[in-house]
Amino acid sequence: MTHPLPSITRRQCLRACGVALALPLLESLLPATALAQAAAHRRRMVAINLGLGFLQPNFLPTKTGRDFELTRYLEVVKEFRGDFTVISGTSHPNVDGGHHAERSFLTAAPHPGSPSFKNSISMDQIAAEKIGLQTRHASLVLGTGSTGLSWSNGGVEIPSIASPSAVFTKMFLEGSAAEKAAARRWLREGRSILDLTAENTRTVERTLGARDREKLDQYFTAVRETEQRLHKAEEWDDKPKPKVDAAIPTDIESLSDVVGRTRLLYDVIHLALQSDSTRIITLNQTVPPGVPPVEGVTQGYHNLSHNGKDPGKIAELTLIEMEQIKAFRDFLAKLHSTGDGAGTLLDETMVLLGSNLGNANSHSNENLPVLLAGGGFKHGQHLPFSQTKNAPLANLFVTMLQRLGVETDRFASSTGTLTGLEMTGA
Amino acid sequence: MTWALLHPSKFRKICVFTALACAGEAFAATLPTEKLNPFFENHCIECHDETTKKGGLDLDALSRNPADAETLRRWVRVFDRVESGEMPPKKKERPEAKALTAFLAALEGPLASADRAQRSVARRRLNRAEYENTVRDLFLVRAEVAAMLPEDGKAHGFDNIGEALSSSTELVESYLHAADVVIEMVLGQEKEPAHFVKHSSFTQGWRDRRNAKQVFRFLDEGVVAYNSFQMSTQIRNFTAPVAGTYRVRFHASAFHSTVPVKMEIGGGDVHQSKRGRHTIGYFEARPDVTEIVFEDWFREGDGFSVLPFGIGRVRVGKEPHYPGPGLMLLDYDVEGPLDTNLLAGRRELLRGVDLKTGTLADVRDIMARLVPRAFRRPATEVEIARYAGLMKSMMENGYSFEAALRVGLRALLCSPEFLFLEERGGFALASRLSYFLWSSMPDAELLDLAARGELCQAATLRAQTERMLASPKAAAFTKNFTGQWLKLRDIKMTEPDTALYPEFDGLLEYSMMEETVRFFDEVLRRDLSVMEFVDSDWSMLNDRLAAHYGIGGVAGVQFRRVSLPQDSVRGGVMTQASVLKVTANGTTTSPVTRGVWAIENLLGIHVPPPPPVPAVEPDLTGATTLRQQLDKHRNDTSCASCHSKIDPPGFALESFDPIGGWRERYRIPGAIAKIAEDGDEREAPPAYKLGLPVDAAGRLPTGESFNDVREFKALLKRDPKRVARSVAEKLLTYALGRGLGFSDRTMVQGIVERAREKNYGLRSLVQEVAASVATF
Repeated sequence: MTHPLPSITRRQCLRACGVALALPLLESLLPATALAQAAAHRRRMVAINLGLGFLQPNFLPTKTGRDFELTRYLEVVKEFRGDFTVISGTSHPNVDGGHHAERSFLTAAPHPGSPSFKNSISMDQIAAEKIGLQTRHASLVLGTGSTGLSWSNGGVEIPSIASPSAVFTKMFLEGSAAEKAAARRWLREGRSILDLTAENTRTVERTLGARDREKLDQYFTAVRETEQRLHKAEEWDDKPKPKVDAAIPTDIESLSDVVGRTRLLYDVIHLALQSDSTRIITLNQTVPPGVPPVEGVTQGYHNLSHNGKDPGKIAELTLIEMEQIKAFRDFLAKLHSTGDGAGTLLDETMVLLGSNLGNANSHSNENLPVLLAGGGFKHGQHLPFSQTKNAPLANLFVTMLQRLGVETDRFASSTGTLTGLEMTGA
Repeated sequence: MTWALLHPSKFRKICVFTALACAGEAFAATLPTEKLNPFFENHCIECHDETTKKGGLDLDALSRNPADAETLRRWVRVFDRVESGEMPPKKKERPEAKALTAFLAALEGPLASADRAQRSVARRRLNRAEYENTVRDLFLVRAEVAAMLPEDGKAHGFDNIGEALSSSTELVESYLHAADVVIEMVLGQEKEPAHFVKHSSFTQGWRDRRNAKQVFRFLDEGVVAYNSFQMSTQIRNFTAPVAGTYRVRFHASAFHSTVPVKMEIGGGDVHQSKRGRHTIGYFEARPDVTEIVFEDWFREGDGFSVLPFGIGRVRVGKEPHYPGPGLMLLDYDVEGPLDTNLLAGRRELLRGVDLKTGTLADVRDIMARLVPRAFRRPATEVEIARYAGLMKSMMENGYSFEAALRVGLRALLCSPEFLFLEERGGFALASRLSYFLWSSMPDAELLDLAARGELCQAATLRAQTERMLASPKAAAFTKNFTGQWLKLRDIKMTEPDTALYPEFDGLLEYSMMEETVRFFDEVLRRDLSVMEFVDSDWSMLNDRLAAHYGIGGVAGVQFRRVSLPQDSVRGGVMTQASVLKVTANGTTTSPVTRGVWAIENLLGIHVPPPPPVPAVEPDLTGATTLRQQLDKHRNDTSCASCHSKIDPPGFALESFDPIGGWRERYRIPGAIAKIAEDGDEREAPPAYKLGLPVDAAGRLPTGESFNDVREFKALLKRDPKRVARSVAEKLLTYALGRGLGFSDRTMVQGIVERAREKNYGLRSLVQEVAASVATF
């Protein structure tokens, strides 16, 4: 077959030349002075969802305000009493479906268990859109299982990473010269592919009706955004990765050792924050299979959570939840002992610990256990809302977004900010 | 491939008839006020005017132009309630039959038009399973890339619905990475891997025999494996040097046993379990030497494992004279790769072009062959030039032929024409059929027929549907359709309470899945009535499941069709252990969850999500049952309108526990099993007690009452049309990749009517659905 080679547009050719020959133009990142200024106001957040929640009586104080009593679990974190607020009586309106609600924990999208569920953007990704450009990674999405908490615009799942060593490698380990060259070439090629795809927009769309266009438009928008993202990755590629004083973690393979797996993730989260690799992190501890290796525990964690008010089961479940809260305590302690300019890392980082289940025994998605630590608030209180008419949890998200510098007064089902939670300083 | 060279104007002609079919409906319709108003005046307006507004409906204010979804929804509700006789309410005067018919007729056409206009199919993206299958058929490689892509959104119960399949940067980035994996599989291997037979014995290849002696018994002739407490009894003897299909043949016997000993054969990453492992199957070794043969797909580095099953637990290192049964493993052969053409994809792509010396002319040829197949339709010169041009400019700027080809292929796999299904024209029909029955791209035969304009002819379509169902690729239909319709994908979501349900084990879970999948396949293959899903006098069982169901006379782990005893409570999918397990939480059952499942999936009744009411809390102490707790809020009239429909099937199914076993009383926890001091659990006596009795009686919303699940099923069997319609709706939703609306009702009715002659056979329904999607 002899076909004349098709002519190539000038743009195509120019782009391809750029691909093959020139290194990407190195736009300077933030100037050094701007970086220094930003350091004084760095705001970060970590949002954690424990898929099975807590036995409420062990967690929630009965007394409210600043005189709240230390419950069995809060006793474990008592040294940080002044650094956290326990929030009760919140939930996401119309978010039901038991375990499925983990998908809505940071999005507040209604009816996650329904066959026609459509998710929406999660609050962390709104923050990442705003402040993500300032760090190498816009956000870090982690999960001990296969489901994460983060959803991008359009409600598409952002895959979560379960392996602490993979996170460590991505953030801190430099590849060989050959690997780096290959990675850079991949980014450049990716950009020209996406550029070509985006250019294709008009030809494809000309033939379509409005409804058809809607889905394709979304795809082309995603293509253009990905192109920008690869561009940003190329720029960061020229800067050496930060060095941290820690060895690459050894992953725990056993899915049932959920607390062990979570601890390792807490450790890399701490490193990620300390090195300012990202400021937005989510961690989902999805319902794990099997019997966790906790002394005295003979039954599966999930199964114990359906405790049926059986005292034997409740006792075993308490043992596991104690391990959960101890791991959390150690995480807070690490953040607290890390200094970063003006204050500790904990002062700069909002750490949200919560669950999509208010009561695992009934699969209830109301009266969620919520604890917010650090991040520059007047803490040291139990902030109660009505147990029978819950306040929207999204109100807390608005407060958190504002703390991160996002100018917004609403998120999903919010009705305002969270009353009673006040910021400190700037 | 002739169709690849078709001129665009030719295939436009082919599609003309479908375009015409839609053109008649294209104008937006307002409702014929003059025909509706007299009826409203006489029968409705008294309650539904602007002052009374009963049920929130003000007919004067309701727009007569149902062009938006909400207005349409409200009008459809008006239509449905009048048609069903719910409105006007019973205490009011009935409209004359003639007036009623005229009213409904005047409403029906415009509502259907309005619905059709809103429902024109949104272009649908391949979901991740479809993506993986499509690259498999496009490049003839087996690339496991689905797991690299983000989870797909779902709507109307399925994950192939256009409106729910969104795009994001994560998706695009993962497409780039997935393409790399696919391309490496196609181009990375140059030589066909050597076929080999490895002969070995299970006594060989032990790195640490001293440790192994704790759990195995080493004899001259073989190794005896026991069921210890860890997975350490697994034999992991073989590592696949390259990806491919392998056949394993080994000899084993039941040791110290007069009855067969079972084993689970596992495959996948049995060495490190990083990439996941799966059950290949369960087998049995007789007391005499038994040959066991299986085939499986191995990735490079994969192996197989053998784990004895169902024999007493022991650590023979501690009990050297243990007299109980074990599994004696003797010698084995591994043969493979059996695939004769692992490089077929590479050959097909390159057609003799050498990657080292390929030229610009080769680039054009490769893309001219590949682009039409990737787009599932003829490609234009411009489209081919897009990818050939990209490669050309890269080569002109220093890229090697191979490097440029990889970039070109990656670009092709990110193109919207590849990723999104076209919805109009003859070629779109080929795709719609193949994604319906194969979850993958159409093959050359389908596309050839489309190119010749013959695919839409009734006889051809029927023959093609039969051909597609007969293909091994149709396993994707059973897997994806039943996986979602019957929720089988959730089978591992809960782990039953080991104290309450000590009889639960891996073989039982495996067998549950097998039963339902094989049951569906049997109904499909033999064109049995969809009423078999409600009740049947047979099922697909092995010995484990038969024991679970209390059915005697079934020996051996292999599955077969078994006639159920006359008075059996089993039969149909509702009483299959898989469905009963996915509708429970592992510890307790809820009549509401199971009831919703049954009425939505078998009866086609959609129930809205519940209003926010406090959830009831399961109580295992034995003081109260969930049913008793539910009674409180069912007696509330606002709850009753839905619960009168939801609860009856749920009550009938209360006779089955969370793992699908029959029960007359609920189980409640007894003493928790103790862990022995040496760390080894002992077989503990059942750690449960029996609590309150089950009450499985109920009353249908239509008034008939039943005492148990048998009577309940008998009542459902009186209305086969309803079940057929429900199944037809599910099939059509899945086939079209969109939710159904008012305008689809006629089509569904037609499908059901035509299938009635075939006793509502499932295969006939699938045929009718395939014929119907051709009319879009």
